[in-house]
Amino acid sequence: MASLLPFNGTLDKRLAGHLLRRATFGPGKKDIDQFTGLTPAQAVAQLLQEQELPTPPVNPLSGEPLINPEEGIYKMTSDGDAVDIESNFIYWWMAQMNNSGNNITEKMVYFLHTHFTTIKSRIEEPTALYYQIALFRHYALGDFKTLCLKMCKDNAMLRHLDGIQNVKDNPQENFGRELLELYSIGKGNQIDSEEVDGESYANYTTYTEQDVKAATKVLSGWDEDTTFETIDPDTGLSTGKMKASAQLMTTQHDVSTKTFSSAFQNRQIGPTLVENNSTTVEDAEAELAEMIDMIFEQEATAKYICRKLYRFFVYYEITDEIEQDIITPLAQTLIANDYVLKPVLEELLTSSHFYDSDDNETNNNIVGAIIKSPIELVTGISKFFNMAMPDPETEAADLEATYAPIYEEMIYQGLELYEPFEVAGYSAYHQAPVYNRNWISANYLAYRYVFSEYILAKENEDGESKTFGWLDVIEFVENNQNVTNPADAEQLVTDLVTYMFPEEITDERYDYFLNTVLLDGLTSVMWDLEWSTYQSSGDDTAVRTQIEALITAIIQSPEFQLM
Amino acid sequence: MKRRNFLKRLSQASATPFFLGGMPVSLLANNHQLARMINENNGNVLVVLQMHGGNDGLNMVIPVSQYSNYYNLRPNIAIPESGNRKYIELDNTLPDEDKVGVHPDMLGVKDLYDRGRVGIVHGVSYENANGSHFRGRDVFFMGGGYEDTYRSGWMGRFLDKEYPAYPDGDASNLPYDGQNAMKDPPGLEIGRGVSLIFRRDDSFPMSLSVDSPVAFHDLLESIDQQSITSFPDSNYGEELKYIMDMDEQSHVYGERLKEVYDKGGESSITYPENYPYATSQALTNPLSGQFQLIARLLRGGIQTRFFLVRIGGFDTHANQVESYDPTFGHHAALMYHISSAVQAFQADLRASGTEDKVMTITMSEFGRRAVSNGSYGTDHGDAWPLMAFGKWVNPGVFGGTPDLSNLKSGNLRMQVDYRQVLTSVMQNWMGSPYDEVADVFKLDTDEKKAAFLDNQIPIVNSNFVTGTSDEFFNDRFRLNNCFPNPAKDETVINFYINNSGQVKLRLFNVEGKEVKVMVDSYLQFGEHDIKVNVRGLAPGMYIYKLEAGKFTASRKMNIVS
Repeated sequence: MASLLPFNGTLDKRLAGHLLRRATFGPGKKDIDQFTGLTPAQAVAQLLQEQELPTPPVNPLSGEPLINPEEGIYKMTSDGDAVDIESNFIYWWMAQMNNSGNNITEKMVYFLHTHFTTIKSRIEEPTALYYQIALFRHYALGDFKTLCLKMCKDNAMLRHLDGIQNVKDNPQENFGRELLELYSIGKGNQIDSEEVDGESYANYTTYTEQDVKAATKVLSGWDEDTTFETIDPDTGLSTGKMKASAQLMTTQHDVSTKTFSSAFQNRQIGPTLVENNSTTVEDAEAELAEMIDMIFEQEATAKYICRKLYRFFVYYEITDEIEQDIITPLAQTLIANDYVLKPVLEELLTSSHFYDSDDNETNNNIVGAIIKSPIELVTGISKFFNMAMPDPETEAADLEATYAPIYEEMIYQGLELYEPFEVAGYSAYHQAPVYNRNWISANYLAYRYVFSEYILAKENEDGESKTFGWLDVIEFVENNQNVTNPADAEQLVTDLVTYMFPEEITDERYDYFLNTVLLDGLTSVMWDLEWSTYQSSGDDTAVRTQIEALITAIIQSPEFQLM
Repeated sequence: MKRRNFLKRLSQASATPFFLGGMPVSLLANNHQLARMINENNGNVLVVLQMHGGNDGLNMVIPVSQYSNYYNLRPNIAIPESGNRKYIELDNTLPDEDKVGVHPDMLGVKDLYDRGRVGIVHGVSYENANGSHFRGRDVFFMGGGYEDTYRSGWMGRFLDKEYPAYPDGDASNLPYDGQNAMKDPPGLEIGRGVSLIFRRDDSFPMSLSVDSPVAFHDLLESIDQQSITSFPDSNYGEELKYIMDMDEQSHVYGERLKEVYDKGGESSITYPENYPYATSQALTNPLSGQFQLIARLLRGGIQTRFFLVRIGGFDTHANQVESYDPTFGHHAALMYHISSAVQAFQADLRASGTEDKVMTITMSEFGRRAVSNGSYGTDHGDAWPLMAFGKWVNPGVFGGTPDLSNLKSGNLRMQVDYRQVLTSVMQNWMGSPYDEVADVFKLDTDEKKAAFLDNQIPIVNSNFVTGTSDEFFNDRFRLNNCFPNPAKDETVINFYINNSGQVKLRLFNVEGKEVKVMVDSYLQFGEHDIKVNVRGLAPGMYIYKLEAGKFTASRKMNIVS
């Protein structure tokens, strides 16, 4: 039976690596070593520590801040400089992931982005994307329910799903529908149609067409703030606002009483004051808050969120057993904590289930069973090799040269960040039945493999030496934090495959990496000799070529695609 | 290709190296599965064109007979009934209540229709459809009803029956097609991901996804890996095997696709590139490259049975049309892309000699609401019109025009379950036997069989094995023998045209010299009798020629004194 009871033991290398691969953007050898021997509670406490907020994006040419509300800079503009503000923002975010260390926050920001995914070409306003990410970071370990409420007013979301066009006389259901279907309660089983006021609706157990229409009315009358000067006092971040008169009376909000279906106990939500087909902004906001409360009072909502967390952190297939033993109690924890995420993450990541120790077979269910997303793949590589990458604040001028090619590579691997094909987001996070297997097609896989070429190329496409984003394999293996003894071929291979792969490999595979790839048919003794020759002559050509071949073979292996 | 491990591994696993075609035919005959394939696999090809986002069918196929109702439901986006951008009247031979128009940017569809190469099915959906993009597409792709959740798709299950050993397999159950090894992926998705439609139960998908065979091949050249041969019995092991299978399949089929692609050569047909009218988005035709690639692979001899192409951008909640003119805008560009790309594709197939074996059908996760919204757009709806293209489509309009005065929550009602169309395609076009089609769509009760399998929409022209497809065209465009003939002093030429337009009727002598212009004017569609005075013309053989748009025909006339 699957169990959320705490795992009573300490983390060995394998489990320390497992935790770090799942909960962060990937460990290096020293991180795994550091976490080995900790109890899950100690390890997870470290991962859940609160983080300082990152410095917002700066202008890569001038180095000046692009956002600083305290100084009156609300909106990112290039100010006449030839800067692509939107791309600069995305590279900045990729740099945050790269710098996220042994902490879960940035991974949760990415999780929330995969949940509330927006499409940049529908928004065309990088500042809105920035504030949305800042909002995710604000609530990364916090109150998911409040985050969902804030998302209803979020400038990027208001544009993404046409919320700004949803007005009382012309309801626009796009956001109302996805709020229920994708963002909060999710689809239950579909049930028969019901007749309401002479019209028939196709319905789910969790919500009905009637609820889509009622929610749309509650959500009507919001507007974006393109100046970004409307600040939410709870978060200090820019937010949308209601279409309203100077007296703060709504102008486009539907003031009728909204009646929800039996899925929501036929709840009625409406303004307390109605004058001339208008109500106060305060009343309209209260309606929205009441609706969010109503949605989050349903157990189905907590379960839906927990299933998403489970698929993201643990495994994509949810059996009846998992539903009963893991999802249901986890949802109870979420409800008991008023939808604050931290206790749920804590419970899940310290559970015997997460470490595959809830039955006698401790190596058959969890470890290594998730296919890395492209961002986890590429960031995991730069983090594992501790590659020199530009600091987003002080080396912003180098962000584009380093991250633009990586962003491009990820597109070929099936992840176009901020540009999924559909509003539900990246298919790996929602498309049943195979979820993360959507990252693997013939094309995607081949492009994942050839990413090794990018990190091993010393020069960029224009033939210039790269300042960042180059893996100097000699420097890497000579650092004893990474490799115990590079002159020892067997030890070199062992160090790499132990720390880079989620599970131990077979002798046949080890033999391949050692004898076929690294030694190319020669013996370990010859390798020792080659290494000594390099050390005395300073000519690293021979050993560099072989180590690069080894790292290429590891990155181009099925094992490395998994975590 | 550096690696042959896949072949190596197979030859270890099975004593016979099957992929190289070394197996005697007599062996095949002993194998039930293979024998069945040789007999029944007709090699026909189906292309599914997925219109991603939910197509607004009512602005694609306009119910002319209910125009005022249509207009009143969507005054800000309705396609007009007059002016130079009015809808195109599709077929004037239909009874009034069945008459429909198509979007003014669908001239290509109109042309194909007149040539008997288009079938339209109104009101396609499934019972209790809902407005979810994801659920809608999943249902259509998995081939079930609203209450079902399958892990596989109908294409995947069909191909799994036809080619059970894909992508590898053992010697007792090989993917053979006739005497030659089935060297090609049974399904091919143009693009990079793999859709549910190709997935089979608990196994590897039945398709490969490729956007450029050449780039793909070159890419694989740079990869060299050892095959993994043993997989731990765990979830990790399962994922590892999944990736390894994809890896191996890529190498084997990547090589073959390149070969077929090269053999196919360049097309002689020009495909459309851009929507010719200024609009804010979606100017470039996303289908041209995809269709061009399929035509080329078919020309090169690929044996793939199913192709999936996609065009996105149909989720037109806002700005579906331009505010100043509802015939322009985002949706208009999409209509143009489909119409022009399919027209070029059909021409390409004809020029390549592969037109006889290819059929294309459109799908979309739902139609859009009949009532428009205030943002010049439409919200999610229910039923939608399906279009089928190809030489052996049963041409015409099926299912009956949707009744706009009887909507369901502002949506078109379902008239045809999508499986009534697909079972016909699978049985009559793909050659899958009745019981197998029942299996593929999981029709496990008599009730379901009666509803979806026995009650098919006849979208496939059953003459395709032997007959010709000219009848439909002749019903709509014909030039008859003049009467009397031989003619003395006067004769009457009778012809029928299905479109109103500029018409020329001219008389030529046997040297090809024009001797008389009998008609050169705008004529209404319908039947026409033209009285011709031939007095003063020398006795002998003459040719009269009718030109009406793209339709031209000539017949002989004898003049006697």
